Amino acid sequence: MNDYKIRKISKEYLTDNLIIFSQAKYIRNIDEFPFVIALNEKNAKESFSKIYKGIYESELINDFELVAIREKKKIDRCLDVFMEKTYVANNVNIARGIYINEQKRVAIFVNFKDHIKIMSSALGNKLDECYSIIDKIDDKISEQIKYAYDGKYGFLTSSLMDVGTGFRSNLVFHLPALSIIGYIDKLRDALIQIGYNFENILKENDISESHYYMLSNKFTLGVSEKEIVELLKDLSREIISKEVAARETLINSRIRVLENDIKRAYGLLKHATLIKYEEAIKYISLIKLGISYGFFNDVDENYLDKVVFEISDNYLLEPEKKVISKNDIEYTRSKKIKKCFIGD
Amino acid sequence: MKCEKCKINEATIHFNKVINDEKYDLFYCESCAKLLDEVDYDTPFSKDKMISSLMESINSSPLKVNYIVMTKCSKCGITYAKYKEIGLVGCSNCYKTFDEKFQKIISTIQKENFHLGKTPSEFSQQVDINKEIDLLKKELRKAINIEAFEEAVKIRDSIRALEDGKRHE
Ligand SMILES: [Zn+2]
Ligand SMILES: [Zn+2]
Repeated sequence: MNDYKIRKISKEYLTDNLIIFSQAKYIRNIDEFPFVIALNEKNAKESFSKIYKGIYESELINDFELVAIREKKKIDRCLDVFMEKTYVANNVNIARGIYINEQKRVAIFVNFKDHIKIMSSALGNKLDECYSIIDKIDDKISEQIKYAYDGKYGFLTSSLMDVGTGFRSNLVFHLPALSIIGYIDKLRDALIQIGYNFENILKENDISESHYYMLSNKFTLGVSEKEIVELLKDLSREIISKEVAARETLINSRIRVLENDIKRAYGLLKHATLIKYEEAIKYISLIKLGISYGFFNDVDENYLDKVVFEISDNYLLEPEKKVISKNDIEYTRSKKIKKCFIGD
Repeated sequence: MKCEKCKINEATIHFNKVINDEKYDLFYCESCAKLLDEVDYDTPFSKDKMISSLMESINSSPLKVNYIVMTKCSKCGITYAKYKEIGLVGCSNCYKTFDEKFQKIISTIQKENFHLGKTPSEFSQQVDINKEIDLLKKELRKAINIEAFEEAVKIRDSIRALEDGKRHE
């Protein structure tokens, strides 16, 4: 019946291609100042310069650019690049900013929810690398600054959800088959029960459900950083094998519909000149699924994994330009995505 | 974009506000934003707020609430009532001030109630003790897992002794 050959998907391929984003974060506070929520303008400034001095003297400063809170568009873009949802709207006048190295996807958030949040992200399955990057930065800063730390509770944070290691690690999975066959909710419930957060990401305005999911540790106290990383990696292998099984089910049970959906997605991305964010995410996901089945050879999958994080409205807004229309954004988005088609 | 309130200044602050489960986006200039006390401590913390109030409803006897509500952190000035309202800790000293209350919350939202893992370098003179404590804590978890409670109690006491020693140094 099939007039084409379906590629047998290897487990190695999926292990490398299902985890598309890794991230590690440390949440820290300085002992001598109140936490951000209780800062007044004066001690906010003092704490900010204290951290500046710490970063400066640790020689980290050479790698980073400082974006101040006044530059709203730039800040929003940073939050998008780092998929950071924490945004503190209160006491607006306090000194606040982000040290970023966008190329290396490393950032130090100062005076947002906590005094210091160090984060490192990477495309692909690179949690160990991200962890080691933030660990080194954390060591350097802690040589300059006395952190809020307690023998019993470990690193003290503004939220009791982060206390202890103050360490969070995230992995973003592409799970189209589990989503399509409707197993995702069960998986989410199971993960939550054993102490993990698992949520749909790449939503804009909460409209679209994407096939991209973020797994992160819920517990930060009573478990070491290394254990958190290892447990997350163990779990990721299980999730991948579930997705593998689901992909086999899918191709056996509804090949025609699936092929139709995937090839339409291909056509749309290749030919549309204006495209909305939710549409784009949906079609990119389907094309990526199609690649794994061997439907196309002219799509750069690595590029697709990267571009997924670079097509949100905030990301596409040019911070320098004052006004930009919806059409401009949709046009830029479609142009950007089209670069995934190679060869032709 | 102009500020939604005064309609004169450029809007530089973006708030997410949730009223009756409806989400609103507000764009204000800085001076108008400052006047808006109500937008303080907004949506980003809903989870934290929920947890602190939830725990409060489960844990407290009325007598204790009164006492705790009046307790103020001597360093940052935050009361326990304020903590409950915003769901965020005011400073490192709050952990001592509200220790009893925090312990209860921590024991339900975290895996354990003691820290394992990295220790900052300025605590380096304590690193050896801490390492020993870490090891003991691991043993404690093992003992609890296999329900060797007598053993667990012994280990816990050794941990406490080490921690007390550390504090009095
Ligand atoms: Zn205004
Ligand atoms: Zn305090």
